[in-house]
Amino acid sequence: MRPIAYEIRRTLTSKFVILMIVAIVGLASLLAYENGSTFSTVNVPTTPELTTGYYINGQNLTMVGYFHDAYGNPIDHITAYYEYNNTFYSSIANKYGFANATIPSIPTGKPLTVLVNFTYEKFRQPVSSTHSAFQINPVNLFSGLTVVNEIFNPNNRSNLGMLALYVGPNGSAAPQITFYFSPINLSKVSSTSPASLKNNSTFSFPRSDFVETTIFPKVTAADKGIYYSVVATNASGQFIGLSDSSPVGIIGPLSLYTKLSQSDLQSLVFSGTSQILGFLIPILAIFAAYLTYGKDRTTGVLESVLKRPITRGEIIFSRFISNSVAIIGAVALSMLFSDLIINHYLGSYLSAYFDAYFVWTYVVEGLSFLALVYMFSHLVKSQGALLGAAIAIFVVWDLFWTIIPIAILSALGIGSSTNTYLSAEVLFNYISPAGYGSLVQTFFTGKIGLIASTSINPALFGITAPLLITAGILWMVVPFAIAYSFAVKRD
Amino acid sequence: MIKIESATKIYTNKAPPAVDSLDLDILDGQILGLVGLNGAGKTTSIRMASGIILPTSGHVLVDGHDIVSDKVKAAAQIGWIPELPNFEPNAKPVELMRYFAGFYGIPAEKANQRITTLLTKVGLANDLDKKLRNYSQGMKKRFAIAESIVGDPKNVLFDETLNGLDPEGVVFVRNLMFEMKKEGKAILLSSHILSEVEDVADRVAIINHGKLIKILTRNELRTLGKTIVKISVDNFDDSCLKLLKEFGEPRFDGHDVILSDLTITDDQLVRIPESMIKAGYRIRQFTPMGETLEEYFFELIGEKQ
Repeated sequence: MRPIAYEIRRTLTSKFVILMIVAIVGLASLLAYENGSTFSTVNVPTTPELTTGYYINGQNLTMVGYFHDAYGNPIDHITAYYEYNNTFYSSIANKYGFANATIPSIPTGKPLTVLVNFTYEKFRQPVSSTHSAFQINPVNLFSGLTVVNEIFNPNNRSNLGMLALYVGPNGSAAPQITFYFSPINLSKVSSTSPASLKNNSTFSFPRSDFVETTIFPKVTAADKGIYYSVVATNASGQFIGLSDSSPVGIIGPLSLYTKLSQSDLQSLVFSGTSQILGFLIPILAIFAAYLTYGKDRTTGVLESVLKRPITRGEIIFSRFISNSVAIIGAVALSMLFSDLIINHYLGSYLSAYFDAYFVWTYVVEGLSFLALVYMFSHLVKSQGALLGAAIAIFVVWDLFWTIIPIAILSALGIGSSTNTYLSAEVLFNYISPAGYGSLVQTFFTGKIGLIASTSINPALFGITAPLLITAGILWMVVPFAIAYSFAVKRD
Repeated sequence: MIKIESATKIYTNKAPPAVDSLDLDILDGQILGLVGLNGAGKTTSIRMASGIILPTSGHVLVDGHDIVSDKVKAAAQIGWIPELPNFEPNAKPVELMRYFAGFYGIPAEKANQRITTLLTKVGLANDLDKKLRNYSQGMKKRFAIAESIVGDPKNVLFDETLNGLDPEGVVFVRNLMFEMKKEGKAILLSSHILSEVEDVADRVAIINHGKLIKILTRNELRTLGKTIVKISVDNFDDSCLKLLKEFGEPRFDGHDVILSDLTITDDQLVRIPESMIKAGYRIRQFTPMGETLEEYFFELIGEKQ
């Protein structure tokens, strides 16, 4: 086995490194999921909806209620109340979303009104919907086809979907029905015949044997703002009237889900993945360096390698490379999973430019801490002293680095809204690898401060791409060069 | 062959050099014993020779290659078995040996064969599944022997290797050294147990306070020569000591007295027991013998026990 392959395998299979990579990638993915799932539903209503129909058998009126979300999916455990003649008839939605109730002894031949409302829980509190009046003409023994507008397509979050509820005689399911969709000018609905709408349709969807079904026409951004007419025919091609007795249903206008801008996506990454990497990558780097190089060096284990036909420089370099692989892998996997998850929920990938900068940022941070511990491995003699130094590096240069500048600047009486304060903050970020992430964030967002609350022009405070890249290279190279020099020239 | 030329190692300016201008040749097909008290500079010399530490001045040439400036070629021909071997504790022996074999460019299949042969040879064939942290110190030494010669080096340095080994292990290492010697390898065995070195070495280098004091050849070892006398007396007292001082330099060796630096010739030795009996001492043992390396060593460095 080639020694470098062994070094890499040894690093990547150590329990600590495995645990840290799983933690880093897992937590970064969870935060991306949290951000993605939260922001993906911003435009989609979360309130339950109730679509009703009915059928009459003798003097019994059965109200059919279907509870669904904005995507048309069923919701259970919601109580529907049907009020007729000051009497409430209630039913709890089953797992298919249906909450049906039968109202006995209705008068024959007379139109009647049933008031409908429902209660559901939101944040563990009961919430009641407003009452809606449901008009029933007993001449029609069943409600037939009902079309519900603005059902969201879960795949692209456009709202040009439709829910069809069909209640047939004695509650039977729908026969074969074909739905035809065609773009329409609302002012011309009344003057356009159903046959014309059918002939000019751009989509058609055959359905049969359903009580409820969803239909999602394929739409593009070009369809934004457009209304569509819906007409339905049975197997014989005869038009089926809708439950409101009109021959034509209208859905729309289409409001496509608006994708988040790159800037918004970047903010999500800075508030999620970035926080995790900024905290955990230094831990991975510092203790991987301690466990695979510093400890071996201070305990003498490295001598079993040093006596081989390999130069001192090659030893430190191969171990540094193997540690770097773990760090680069953790950062790259975190970024990859975050990007995939964000794209899954928000429909956009982060730009390759941002991805590259982001990976670079945390690789710089990781490799800088790695190099610092390598350097200290040659400055202290004992394992205990090195472990102490490693912990001190983590605590001072990473864990408390956001607080230390604030404490110092406060002690100096420098106001937080002054140029001096902001310049000092930028300077502090340049003199710790842990501050590098903040610099890059400021570079991208123009915001600075503990909670990124102050807007600045980054270039005016010395945050430019060339400076960032130079600082990153220096942070990685200088401590490692010192460590390398000690390794080659000193015992 | 290892040639150590004026090698000096100074760890700190506050202390004298650990090794001071050491010149030593470890010749092919020979075993060189390196003896000295604790702190004499044996281990430092070996660590310099194997490239673990850098000489402050001077050179170490391994088959003509400088261990500092041409380390890769030099180290390829050196096997170093440290006094206290220290390995990656979580590694398993075969896995670690494969890693080490990789440095010598040994093809995988050949490396596997050699690793199996060596680990079997050192008696670890039944312990290959254990992690090295679970090995005893003796097992670690056996493993150290195997891993140090995985690259089949022409020069092997044993640093206090016989310490801590069971009798079987001691015999094994001796036989191994003889085997290597027959193969023409240059061997160095350091020890502070002089009898061990005396038994196997072709030459013995004595160092003290970092300096080479003397190199004895095998012939010189055989004829260290000076007669000493081992005496056991039942009623030994200060007067007896005073009496013995008339014939030489007495020192205690357990309950016995060793009389060296005799002031009389070998054919006059009988005068010693005669005088003692006349003075009323009961002698249980009176054995004239040749001087051992140990006695010679102490005589040479001037530090009597």
